[in-house]
Amino acid sequence: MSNFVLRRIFLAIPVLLGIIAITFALGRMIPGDPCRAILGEKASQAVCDAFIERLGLNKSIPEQFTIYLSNVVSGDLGVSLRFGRSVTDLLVERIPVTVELAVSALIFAVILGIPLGIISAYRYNSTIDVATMLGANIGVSMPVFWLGLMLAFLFGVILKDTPFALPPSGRLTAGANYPAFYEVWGLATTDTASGFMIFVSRLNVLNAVLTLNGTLFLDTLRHLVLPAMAVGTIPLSIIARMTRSSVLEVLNQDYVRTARSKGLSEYAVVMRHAVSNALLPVVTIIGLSFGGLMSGAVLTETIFGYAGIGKTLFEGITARDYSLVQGVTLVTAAAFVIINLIVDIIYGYLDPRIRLS
Amino acid sequence: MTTANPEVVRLKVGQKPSRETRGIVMETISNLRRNRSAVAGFIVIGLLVMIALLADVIATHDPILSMIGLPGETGRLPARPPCVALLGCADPQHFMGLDLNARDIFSRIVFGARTSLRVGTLSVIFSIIAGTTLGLVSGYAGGWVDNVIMRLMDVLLAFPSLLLAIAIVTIQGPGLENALLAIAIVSIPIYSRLVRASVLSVKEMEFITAERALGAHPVRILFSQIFPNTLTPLIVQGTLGVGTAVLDAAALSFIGLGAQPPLPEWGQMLSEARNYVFTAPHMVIFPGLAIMLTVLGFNLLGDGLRDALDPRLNRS
Repeated sequence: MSNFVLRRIFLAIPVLLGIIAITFALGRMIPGDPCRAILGEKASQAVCDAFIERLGLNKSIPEQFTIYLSNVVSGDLGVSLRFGRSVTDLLVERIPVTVELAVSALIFAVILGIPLGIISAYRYNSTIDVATMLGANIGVSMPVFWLGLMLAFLFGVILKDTPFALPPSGRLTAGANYPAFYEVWGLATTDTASGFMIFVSRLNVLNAVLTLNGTLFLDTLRHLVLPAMAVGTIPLSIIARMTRSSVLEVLNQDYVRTARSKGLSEYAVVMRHAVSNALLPVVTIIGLSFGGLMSGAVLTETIFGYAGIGKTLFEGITARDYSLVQGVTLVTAAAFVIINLIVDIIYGYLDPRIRLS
Repeated sequence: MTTANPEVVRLKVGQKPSRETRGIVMETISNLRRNRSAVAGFIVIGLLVMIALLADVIATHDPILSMIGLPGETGRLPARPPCVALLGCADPQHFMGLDLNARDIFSRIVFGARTSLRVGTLSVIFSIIAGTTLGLVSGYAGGWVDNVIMRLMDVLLAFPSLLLAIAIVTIQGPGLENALLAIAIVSIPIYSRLVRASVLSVKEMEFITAERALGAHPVRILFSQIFPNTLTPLIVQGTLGVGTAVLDAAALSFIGLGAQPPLPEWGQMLSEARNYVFTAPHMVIFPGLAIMLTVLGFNLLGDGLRDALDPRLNRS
């Protein structure tokens, strides 16, 4: 097993380097004067000279890449023009918001998608199967930002005065201010908190648990529902389809027939024998969904006024903030690789055939 | 989906090539006709192509013309809700209402079909050409060539595709052409991997060895013998790819990187209307429905083609 894990990690390293190389190449493709493009038209010659010196833009391409690589490895992703801050600091603050949204969306997708897939496979070609598959087809065909707008309209306007009304915007009720866990615990103040503390405290659900704050917890959840539904719909559709085809395949296997013929209850046959084996491939899909979740977050966060990396990226694009766009691309791609690495390892752990082949 | 059809397999055995080719085509068509999702997809796409071709006839107004100051148009025009005479609306008829600039949304959606279909098909054609070439070379050459190409494809696949497209367009500058290119670039790896896998599976077959023994040039073998065997998965993936490309193009336009105003494009229309969903929902509902139906059509047709072209292919 440790051999398998090491081999997988070893294989991921060239991909990570490749990602850095591509983001580097993107930076070199900026048309025109890179300094004025990155720092703005009004940058003075002295500032530009210093900037070019710092990034080594007057050096050869391999040397420039070495500088970029060492900057990235040491956590320096440049300075955001739009926000006037280091991209790394900005991301430490914004990533937790997106992580919280992506995880909620994934939970929504898994909790609904797997049972729907199982039921569809078990009741193959029934009304519920056809309806689920049609729904899944529609789910992957919808633009996620449109779904977000429609959900905001449905829950924020049409259902406004019913118990189902949900806030269509923001992470918390406007004006509400909840203390971070490090303040409650007396570890640090807002000014002295470390990057890690800020990161954790920005995960509102976790912060609510750490500070035992029920109001914060409920407020966060209420604001999470709509964006999570919007972002989670595509993964939900994919997971439902995958689960269905996987369970269908397993239900026709000999050992399932054996289980039936020895008189096991239908529940035991389906849930214990069929489903537990059928869910293995679904694990991989959950890893692959991450890319969709991130793209979804980029497109929906602005709609719901969610200050995560999606909204940050959006603001960066509008301001043509190259360092920020480059940084966000690099960090999400790296996270994508690492998450799939973890999923691969879990998969190898669950299925010996994978790790021994 | 439908159950496996044994007839296709039967036709492949013991028939002359010319008849077999025709047989498979006819067989595929009859398979497609029996496949509900393929028929639905085909109808949707057919209608869409018609709308795009006949946009000048179907559209009731000029898609970029503001109604303000036109004879007969009275009252507050920007963002006016739909007005259909059949439903008893006495004002000038606008099936889907007017947008913020008092342009007719129905006409903009009709003309938007042109933009979306063009971007969708062109970007897929571009990435199929690039991906197929890379995949053929990679699979047939093997060795370090294969290694270099495939590692590059692995790295491209490691990016969430829409995010990479966003990064490319941000740096190259917003616009429909750049968006189209970016969408094409990020989907090259899908096609190159697909083609490479097909090449590897037929490369060692006896008819290729025979061809080689006859002294055929490798390029000839590659294009006249190996390439036709990669067509089935390419057609299926290409059809599904158009749907994805339409979706991605809409997303890029939505964040202001794709089509620029006043060009009628669905994603761009949504982008303009995003802040008015609570006050003028009609500006949001219709462009979104248009995108959804288009993508759904291509997805259904792609799934149906997969079933009809090769019953052995995995169905999910």
